[in-house]
Amino acid sequence: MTRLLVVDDEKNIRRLYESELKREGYEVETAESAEDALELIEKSPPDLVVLDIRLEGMDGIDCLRTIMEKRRDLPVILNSAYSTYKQDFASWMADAYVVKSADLTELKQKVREVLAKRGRV
Amino acid sequence: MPSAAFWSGVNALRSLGIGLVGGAAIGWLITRLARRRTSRLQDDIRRSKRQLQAIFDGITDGLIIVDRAFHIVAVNKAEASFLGREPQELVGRPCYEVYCRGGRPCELCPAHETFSTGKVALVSKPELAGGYHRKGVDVYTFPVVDERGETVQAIQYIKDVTDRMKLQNQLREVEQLTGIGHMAANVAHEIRNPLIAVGGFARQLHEQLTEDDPRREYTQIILEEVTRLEQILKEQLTLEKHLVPVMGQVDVNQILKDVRKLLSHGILSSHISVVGDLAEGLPITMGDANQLKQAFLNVMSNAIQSMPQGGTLAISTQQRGERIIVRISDTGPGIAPEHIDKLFVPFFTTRTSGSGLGLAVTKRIVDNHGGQILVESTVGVGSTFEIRLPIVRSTQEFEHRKLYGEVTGGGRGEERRSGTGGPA
Repeated sequence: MTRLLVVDDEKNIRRLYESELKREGYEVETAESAEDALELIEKSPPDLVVLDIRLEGMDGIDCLRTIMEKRRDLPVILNSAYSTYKQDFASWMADAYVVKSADLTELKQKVREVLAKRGRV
Repeated sequence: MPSAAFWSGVNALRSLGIGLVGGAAIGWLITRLARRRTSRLQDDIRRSKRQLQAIFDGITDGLIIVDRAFHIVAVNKAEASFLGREPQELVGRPCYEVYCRGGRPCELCPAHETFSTGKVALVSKPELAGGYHRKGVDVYTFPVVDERGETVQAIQYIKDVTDRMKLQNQLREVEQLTGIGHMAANVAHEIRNPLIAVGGFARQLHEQLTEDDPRREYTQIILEEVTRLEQILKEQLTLEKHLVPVMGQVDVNQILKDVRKLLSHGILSSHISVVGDLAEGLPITMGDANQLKQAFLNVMSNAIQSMPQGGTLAISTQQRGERIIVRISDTGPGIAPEHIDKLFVPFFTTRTSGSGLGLAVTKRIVDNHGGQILVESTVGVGSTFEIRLPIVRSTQEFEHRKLYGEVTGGGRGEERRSGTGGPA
């Protein structure tokens, strides 16, 4: 089964994403910080990472950089309440950028697209 | 040979004669001198009087001098012209009759205090207390003291403080903007995350309920409100970003045509007829096409929303000197005069839907382009928004204008006007 890793510092957001993405038929793991996420990726890499940007400690952009250095092939979708990070060149390394919304339709769509493009489905 | 007596008589006569002649001459001289002196004094007085009058009239704020019976002794041109009279028509009349049409001195008049204490007195913005003749003024009274030290007259200095009030309001608006902006930027993240959780789980609940479940109405409401809140946050973030324009060559007519196309659904569904009068050969100017599109879109969609039962949306452009004038008019209900001033304040809205940020964003954009936005509205007739954009031919020119303060970049370039006629 396709495994997704959701990184977000908000418990309820993690809970929501987990529930919604599971309903889409994915296996979902969560991490509350970039550090935890990197550790999990190291141990058993998922098929895709949904990464929040504003995080306690290391932020999402730095986390993305680290992932790109270590695992160039791991697709990442940046997911932030802010659209301003779109202008950050570093964010262009991500496969997609989705502005957070209560309506997860766009996120689910992007997950499908990215996985299909990367041949992970 | 004449006697000594004769000679002394002659001498006496001579001296008398000389005395007479001399006396007359001196007298004439003295009179002449005195007259000259008097006329010089009179000239001086006249000159001083003229100078005083010139100073009196040169002051652009209102000045009136009243005696203890509150009769006008003098009034300057500014005040007379404010009253629509010549100064001489007003002199001698009681001021309370001229201003308040009352039978006795107005209670609020600071001159009461000046007459009783001999000191300067002030009543600020008397319209707040009601009863006074004029809005937006401060009235100062200064004592005129005679040689015995008694206050015989009072000079009333009527200072128009609408500019100051306007500045204060603008300052308040800026504070509101930056305060709210900072707050929103800081907490947007905090608000948005819980909102996403609320909305996301509400959506799950909604989908789990069967079509005929009456609780679906409630989950539907939660979802709608969450969407609205999300929209506000999104617009707030747009406002917070300083909206620095990315300059390029823009064709204002083309932008308006694009916006009209974007809004065609609303126009059709509300049976609104559009009258376009776009000037041919309108010069190309420098601007941020996307921002200008947003600015026009906000004004036009407001216009459309104000005419749910149909009406006319008129869009016109023209070149006036070194400016492009865009006018967008509707035949909606109009804007109440008390709302006109708040129109561009963030979060001000008279509608139940909408965030109240549309026109604030529009104004920011127009300001950033060195332009102005004006509103004319008559209740029951409709509203017209006029956007004036300077014609800028190159980026360098834009930078130059910005450097010399002609482009405000977040400054406050709007003026507001309101007509209050028409049925309420």
